[in-house]
Amino acid sequence: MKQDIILAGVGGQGILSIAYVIDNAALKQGLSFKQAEVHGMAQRGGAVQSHLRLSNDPIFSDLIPKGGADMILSVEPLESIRYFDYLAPDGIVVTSSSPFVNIPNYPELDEVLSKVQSVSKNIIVDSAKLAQEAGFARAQNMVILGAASAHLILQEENLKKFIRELFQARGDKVVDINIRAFDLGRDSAAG
Amino acid sequence: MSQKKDIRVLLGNVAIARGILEAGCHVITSYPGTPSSEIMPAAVAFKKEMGLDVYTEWSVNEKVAYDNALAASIAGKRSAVAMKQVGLNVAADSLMSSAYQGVVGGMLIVSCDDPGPHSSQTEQDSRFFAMFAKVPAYDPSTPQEAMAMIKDAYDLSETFQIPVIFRPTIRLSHGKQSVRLSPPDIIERPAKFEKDPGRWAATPRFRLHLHTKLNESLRQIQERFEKDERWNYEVGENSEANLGIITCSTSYTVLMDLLEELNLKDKVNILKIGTPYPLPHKKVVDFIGRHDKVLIIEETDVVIESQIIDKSKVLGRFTGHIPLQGELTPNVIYGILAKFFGEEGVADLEVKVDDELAKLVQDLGLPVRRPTLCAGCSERAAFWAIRRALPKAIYTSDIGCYTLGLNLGAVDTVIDMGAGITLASGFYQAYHQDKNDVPIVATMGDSTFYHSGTTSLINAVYNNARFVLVLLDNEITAMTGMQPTPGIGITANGTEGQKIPLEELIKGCGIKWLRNIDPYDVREMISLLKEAHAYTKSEDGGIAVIIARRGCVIRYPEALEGQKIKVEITDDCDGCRYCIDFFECPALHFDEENERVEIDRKLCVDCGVCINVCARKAIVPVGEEGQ
Repeated sequence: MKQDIILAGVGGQGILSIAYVIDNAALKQGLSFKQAEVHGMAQRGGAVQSHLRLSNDPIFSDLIPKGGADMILSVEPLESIRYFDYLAPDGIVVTSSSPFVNIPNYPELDEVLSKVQSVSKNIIVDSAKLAQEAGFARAQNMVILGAASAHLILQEENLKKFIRELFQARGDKVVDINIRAFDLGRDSAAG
Repeated sequence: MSQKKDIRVLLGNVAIARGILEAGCHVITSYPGTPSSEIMPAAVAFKKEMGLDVYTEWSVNEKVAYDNALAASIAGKRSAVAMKQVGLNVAADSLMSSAYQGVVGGMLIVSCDDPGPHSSQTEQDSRFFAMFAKVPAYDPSTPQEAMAMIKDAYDLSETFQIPVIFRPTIRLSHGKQSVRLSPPDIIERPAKFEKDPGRWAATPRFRLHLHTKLNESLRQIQERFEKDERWNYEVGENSEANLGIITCSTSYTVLMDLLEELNLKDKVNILKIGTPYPLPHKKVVDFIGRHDKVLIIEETDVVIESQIIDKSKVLGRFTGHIPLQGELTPNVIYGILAKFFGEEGVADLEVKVDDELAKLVQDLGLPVRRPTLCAGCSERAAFWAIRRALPKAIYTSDIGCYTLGLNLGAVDTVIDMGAGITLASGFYQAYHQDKNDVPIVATMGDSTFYHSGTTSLINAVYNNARFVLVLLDNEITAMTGMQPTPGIGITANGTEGQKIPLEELIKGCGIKWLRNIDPYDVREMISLLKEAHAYTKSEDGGIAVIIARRGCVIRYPEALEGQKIKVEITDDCDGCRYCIDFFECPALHFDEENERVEIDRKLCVDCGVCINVCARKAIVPVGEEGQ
């Protein structure tokens, strides 16, 4: 069993928090995993991506070849499209429908979403709305993780364990909001 | 006593820091730079966690960091110095000389390469510095291997009394995996400097002798590497295969995955090299001898390939089989393998569909999110003021967040650390020679000024150059992840050091015209810049320095408390786009439908600077519309 995931979004959206939860859940399940991060100049206001590889068998490299990703998991719709060339023919795209507009020439949102829908397996959730509903506008990353959770080779309880661990230091309220965000994302994707 | 297994998910650089501490290192120094910056904070965290007495310092630049670590090793302790690959250029003078003189306690030089480049000026290969300086190099392929190699590197360094280069590439530095930790080796090493002027203060006559000894050490190190099966080993025992691949670093990991995926593991033998200099040449020659053709896949340059004497069976960069620039990503290596196996008639790999996919993505014409200064960044305010005050100037700048002043058209040159000032003085002299003085505005950040600005400025003052220097003091090294500077006087440990105020330093460089300003006050900043320029033109004038000081908006958000000015856009906005194109704050965005500017409340920090930017006065404090 193997799962190659491209994580995408815009700097500041908490992409690496998603990676933290997935990495540790994988470790807990005894999977080997590798992750490639982008730090430094590439981060500021720009497109951020991370390669995540999970597998039962040993894997050597943390880089996913183009055409090899089983999933694109994106907290921003335009950013999900940016990595379409990484997607395997039967791969799935899980993305937010909430645009992060910090560029003057952001395309029409409908156009962007129809591109996402052109991939046969796709899940689009309104993470901005659901994050608000959960109680914190910036919890969109956990909404998207929840939306993807049914398609990950990781158990929900393990993902939640590390969501708790990640936000523990900021108090129970923050933990609960993020768990709720995860649940809302999961239910939205299922519905 | 049984040891509980300690397995953790670590970033490559964090694993390297851990490996250095596990090897019993006593002194660690560094200057931040992507992709190396995470090593020092991780070393500090681990030493605290394990209760180790290790001296750690952020030094003011890489050469200074190098020398401080070197002294510890000369005194018999184990030391490490960490930097990015272009940092080793700054430390090169120390490296070259200390290779001859050597060390007593082990010394590890961690130089993180950036093939791509993702966040650097060059793609230079630090292993070439090992060859150039004649010191051994280790080239790890995974964080776990890196940790094991570090222990061996210290042993080698002490056995042969020589500093050792340790070269991770960015994919290792910023790759995460689970690694197994061990308790640290506790090595007692009280500082003990043994005087030996013939070595530690060697004159040229002694240097020849030291060079001779160095060459003999390298010969012995090469023998050790020949025998070392831990770092230099073959993978696959395909006696039928007549093709071989020699590889190293993270390229090895990409290659292994590809061969597995393409089902080609039995068609080729692999020789993995972990110590590229001095190359275990006999081992390499033996491997080549058993194959018809051997491909060399190494990142970033021809370090292994150029050390192979008989290249008649060797394919690589010299034969056009490997690109001369860029990162060796899975897709690039796929292309290399397709050509190699195709030419040799072993496998016919389809030449990739993903070119079509890449084209498809390209055809979508996705807008690029270029890196930009943060909303509320005081450097944006300063750059905008500079453009307004002196629109015709040459703008020399430097390495840091403020390189992004490019987006505002207020940065014309970025060469290397310190060149913001040296290029300004150089331009001045070149134009002045023709009696054609043009306005010049140099910009430089605080950390860069401490790194290499002072020598540049002393030289400029000494030689009567004239220009305006704006020091963008955000009281932190922001771009690389918020490392402290001598200006705030906090050390790598988070404890107090001595503060060295920029003002005193600048006056000490001989500057007679110095002003301070909060760049949020852009109107005042513009008139100050004009005044500064006038000074450079006046009879008794010289270099005018403005310290534009305001703490980084990300690092010190509290600085805005009590000063916030929430703004709104009035109907006077006629959609001229001036603020979008020339101020380019990410919190301002253009509503194409209504042809006017809007404020993104998620991003806006209420700095209020943009009020000054709109000529139509359509950006106003909330509640003041129509007043």
